[in-house]
Amino acid sequence: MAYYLHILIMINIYILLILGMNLLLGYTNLLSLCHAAFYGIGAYLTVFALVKLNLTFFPALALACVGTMIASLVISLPSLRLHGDYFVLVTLGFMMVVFSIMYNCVPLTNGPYGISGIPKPAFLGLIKADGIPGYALLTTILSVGSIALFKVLVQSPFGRILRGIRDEEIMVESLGRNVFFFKVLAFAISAGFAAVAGFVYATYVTYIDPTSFTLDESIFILSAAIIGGTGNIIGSIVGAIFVIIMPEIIRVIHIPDTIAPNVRQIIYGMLLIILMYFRPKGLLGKYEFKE
Amino acid sequence: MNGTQTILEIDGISKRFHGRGNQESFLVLEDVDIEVKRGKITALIGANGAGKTTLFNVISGFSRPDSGSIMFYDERVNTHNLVSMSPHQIAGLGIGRLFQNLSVFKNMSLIENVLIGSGEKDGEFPFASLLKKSVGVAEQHKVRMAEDIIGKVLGETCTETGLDPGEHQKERWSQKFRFLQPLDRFVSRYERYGDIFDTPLSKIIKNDVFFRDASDFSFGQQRLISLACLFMGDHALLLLDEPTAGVNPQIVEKILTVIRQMVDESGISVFMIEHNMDAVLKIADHCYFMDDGTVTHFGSPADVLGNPKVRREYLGI
Repeated sequence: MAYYLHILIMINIYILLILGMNLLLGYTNLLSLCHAAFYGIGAYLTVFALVKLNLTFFPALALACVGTMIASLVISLPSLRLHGDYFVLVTLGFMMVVFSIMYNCVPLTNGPYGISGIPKPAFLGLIKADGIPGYALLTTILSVGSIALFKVLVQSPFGRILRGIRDEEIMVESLGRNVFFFKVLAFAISAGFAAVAGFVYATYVTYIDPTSFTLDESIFILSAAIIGGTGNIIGSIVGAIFVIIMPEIIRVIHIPDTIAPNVRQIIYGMLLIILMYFRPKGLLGKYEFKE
Repeated sequence: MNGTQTILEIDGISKRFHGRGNQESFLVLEDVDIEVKRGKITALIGANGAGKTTLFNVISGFSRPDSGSIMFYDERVNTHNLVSMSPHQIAGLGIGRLFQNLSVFKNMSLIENVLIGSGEKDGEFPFASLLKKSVGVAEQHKVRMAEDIIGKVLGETCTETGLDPGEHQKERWSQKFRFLQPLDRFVSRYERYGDIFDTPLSKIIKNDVFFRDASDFSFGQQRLISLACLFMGDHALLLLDEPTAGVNPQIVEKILTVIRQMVDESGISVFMIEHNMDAVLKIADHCYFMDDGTVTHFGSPADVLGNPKVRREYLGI
């Protein structure tokens, strides 16, 4: 049972990550390679809030979210006036800088040794030490709440402007909207979703190190978003379920552990190729990414 | 210049395109002077490459001129020099633009294409609808207004799409992977409504056509949709770049009627680039002819089109 609940928790974490990516890719037509950086910043800020500041659940979550959203401005303000490949390259650079800081700034992050013994904050009595069922319930509440918030966001006039930017940025500008401002907001909100995922991950695993927040992870989140499909909510949920369950299926068919990660990579790669050829929108996506 | 009669005054605008590498730079606009009258339709004609669209780009802030000024006189006769302003600031003054090659937001529904044109910006901040109840009320008001405008501008034409619902969205996998067809049907149903499925918007609107993606409509209908989007905003001046290009005569007639109607009813001023001379003669009050980056003739459409030089160099007769 604990195994299935663990799968559920990981799906919930990835739903949060992919929703954030979807807001950028599927709703604003921005391809970002630094989503794992915000995931990591959220996780490290969570540790800071819980260990150094001794904050409780909600203040710690708020600090992780707001702090990560502010950190997103460091990259979005100078880079969001760039378009296409240039923007992608800047996000790649940011990802590398953040990873280097996490890896080398030992006094702050404990570098490659990571931080262990992260406390689990109490949330309405759900989380206890080693309480996987409670954690599964908590992450489900958080992911369902995030889906509801995401739905409100994309159905609102704000979401309409983002979809307009996705389709024809120049036309939105000519309708009197400051496209740059909307993109900065979208980027910050996307980072906020990643921070919630970072919070959940750090407190669930109780150990973080920089290897969980690499460029590979960013690409993994991006590919999960593309596989599930972007431009609607259901695609993100399907993407998260797919990428978490697929390795478990591979495990069932008894591929030796030594080659299992490589086989997983090959299967993902092939799936992406097949999908891009037959179904560029992803499994249940609405929007076909242009650049 | 009298701001009560003039809404836009272009004075001495010049623009040079700088070549890349060893290419020489060339003058696209040279000392252009144009005056657009309030509540009138002013046409701008000229051969391809004469600089008409560049002039529109300069007016709407997408391109900076090298010299000259563009004064816009708003309803209160406040004067704004557009040259130093960004596109969204210029649009915020009430200057709308129909682009020559961009027409609609293709992945958005018909109703959303019109709603996005609304000049009402309250409630566009993230989660505003959760924080303020008035956002929902304003949204309902906008939807009613959009429905009216769609009725007026597209009328009966919006039901004649000439396409099966979602025909363009049929995926190749339905042929290659037939076993996935049940999933395809689900996607098709979901995509039809996207994220506005079962929302207040879908509860207000009963007309299925309003939820069709704009790309489902023909090119002519898309031009009408983009006009409807412009009419949704609170514009004083519309810059229309070839509104009738590439559409059939029936839709041309519809577009011209709609433009004339909006000018007469709402007092909007229109500055339009047009290659359809029948259209110019039919609806324009004033006409400018541009040749090689400069304005060479000005007057009533009949006068300009009757000029021997214009007839010889532009019309080829």
